[in-house]
Amino acid sequence: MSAQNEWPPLGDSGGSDEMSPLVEAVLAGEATAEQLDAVRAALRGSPAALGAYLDQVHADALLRWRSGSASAGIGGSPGAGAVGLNDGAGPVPGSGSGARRMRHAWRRPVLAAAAVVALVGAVAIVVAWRWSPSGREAPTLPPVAAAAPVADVVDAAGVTWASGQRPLVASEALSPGEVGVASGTLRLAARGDAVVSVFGPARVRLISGGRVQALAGRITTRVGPAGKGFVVDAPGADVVDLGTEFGVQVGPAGETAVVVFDGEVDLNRKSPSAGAGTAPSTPTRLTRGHAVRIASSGAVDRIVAVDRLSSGGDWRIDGPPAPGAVIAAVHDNVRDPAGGMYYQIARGGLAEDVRAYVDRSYEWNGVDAAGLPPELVGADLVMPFNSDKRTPELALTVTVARPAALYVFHEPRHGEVPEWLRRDFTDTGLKVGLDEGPPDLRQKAIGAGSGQSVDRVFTVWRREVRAAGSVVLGENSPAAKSMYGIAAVPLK
Amino acid sequence: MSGDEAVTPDRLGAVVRQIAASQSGLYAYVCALLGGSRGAADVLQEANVVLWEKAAEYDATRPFLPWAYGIAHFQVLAYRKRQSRDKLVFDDGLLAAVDAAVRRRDDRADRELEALDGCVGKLSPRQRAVLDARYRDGEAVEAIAGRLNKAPNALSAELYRLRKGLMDCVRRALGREETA
Repeated sequence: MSAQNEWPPLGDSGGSDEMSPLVEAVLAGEATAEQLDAVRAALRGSPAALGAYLDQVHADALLRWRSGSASAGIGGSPGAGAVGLNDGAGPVPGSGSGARRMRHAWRRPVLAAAAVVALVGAVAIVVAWRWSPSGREAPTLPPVAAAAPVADVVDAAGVTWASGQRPLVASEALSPGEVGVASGTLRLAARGDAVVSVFGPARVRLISGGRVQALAGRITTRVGPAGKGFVVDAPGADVVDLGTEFGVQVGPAGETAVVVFDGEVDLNRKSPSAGAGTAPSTPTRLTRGHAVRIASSGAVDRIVAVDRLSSGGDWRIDGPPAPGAVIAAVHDNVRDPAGGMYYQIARGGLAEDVRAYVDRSYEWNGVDAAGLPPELVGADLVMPFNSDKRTPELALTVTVARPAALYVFHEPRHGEVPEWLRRDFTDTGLKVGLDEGPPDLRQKAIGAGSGQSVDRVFTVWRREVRAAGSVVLGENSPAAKSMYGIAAVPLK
Repeated sequence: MSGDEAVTPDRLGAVVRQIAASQSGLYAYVCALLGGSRGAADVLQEANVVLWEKAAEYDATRPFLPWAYGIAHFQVLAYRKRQSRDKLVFDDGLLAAVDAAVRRRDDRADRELEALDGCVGKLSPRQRAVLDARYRDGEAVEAIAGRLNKAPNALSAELYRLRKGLMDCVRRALGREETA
């Protein structure tokens, strides 16, 4: 750029603090009339300055296109900056292939792949119209820029929509943008092979087929085989799927809770103090049974217990017990508060082939074809840690929300029964089976159904708890091969 | 395809594929004429509708992109008419100069996007994080600057330098590729 140009020597070495804010404002569409006047004055009569500015515009356009934000306002107020549904001009990430690349913050847009697909598919409509002898009017065709869906609605039945959210219907294709649910469960199939359940009240922003931003409330993501690398972007962390089902909850202050129900994820924490300019932190690997809460300050806490419907749907980690809950809470005296392991409470969850522990894939079953004892079916079930089977001085506190019959399933190896169990509980004579499957018994696979592939038989002990409150369970038998089980039903 | 030739499904399909394949280039072109991204997505959508409607009129013996640019140009002009003049980045005189400059450049956005990937990969994690915050997350300059304890003007200058550096890198990458 020549010395006589009015345009400052931006970008050469030092940059200019005078003009660059103007450029930034213009690029973002936020410039005032005075700022625009200043930019025009700088560009007028200076081809070099105009060239430099056009370079900025061009780079800005490529970066927006590349990041998928081509249709979104950038840098404005949250509302103004939001990407509206079906207004996505931006590109769409590829399908699951190469989805590991989603661990990068950005995806290179595969040249509007979905738009191509939509267009080519729509060609048939156009051709049919043009070649139809009776054709008079063009069918309503989506503009190319709108044909960039990143997700499809799987189920919206019973959903109440958040204020300003237009109702969505099943099978509807969604472009990048925000979705708000006031109540009910919205299930979306992200094009990157992941099913995202949004539990109202909650808001998410669809970024791409392989990335969803959790803005508020609770979501669960189950990722399919091609979706490895799917990212849930939350205020406290990016959660990168490694083949799993996991939940993310964003609280009012931006606190982020992450619960791994199956498989494993990488947690890339965002440092609130260092912000965007900080090098990415080393990912923390969380596996099944791990749950952590990242406060807005960046502090990390263990989530002690997760309450989840037996159907595997909605879940909760705090607040009062869910309506109908029998077991309200579980905690222990041994676990590192920052350790990240949680007890899962499966509300009404005791059934054939239900998972027994958060850290194993073992399952509870009836010991024979008769099935589980009828009085236990549908009980609230605690999934403890099998790794606690021989933890000394364990004190496991179970809190019931109402008068309840509390059950402990214990394997009496060598006739050993813990003193606390013999003292406080009654042997019902009932039995349940544990199907361990691999890896402990490598010759057996996990069986399905009552009496199938049962590896160990547990005795059912019972105690009546006459009022809502807590009961402390002690350590297991020293010779135990698996941790005891815990269940509860309302007291009749 | 010329006007007296029959419009076959194959030909129409080929045009539609070209429309789809030129989306990033058209977006960049529209941004250039508008002087920024404000309104660019709307204009691109309107241009796409017209391209679609006129697909049968496209003469396949001529280059596609100039034809598409011409249509997009008219949509930019229509957009400008709907805006108050003080909101336009370029006045009429500048617009003509911009159009000429952009067409001379013969930028190929699809190849540039590929090169851009490699160039972004050469940035430091911190620089990538800044771009990520600005472009992927849509954060305001003030918000990013606040978290980095930087003055907003300094961050704007950094973003300016990053964009310039990336364009230089993209051109070098494409230049090397073309001479290889």
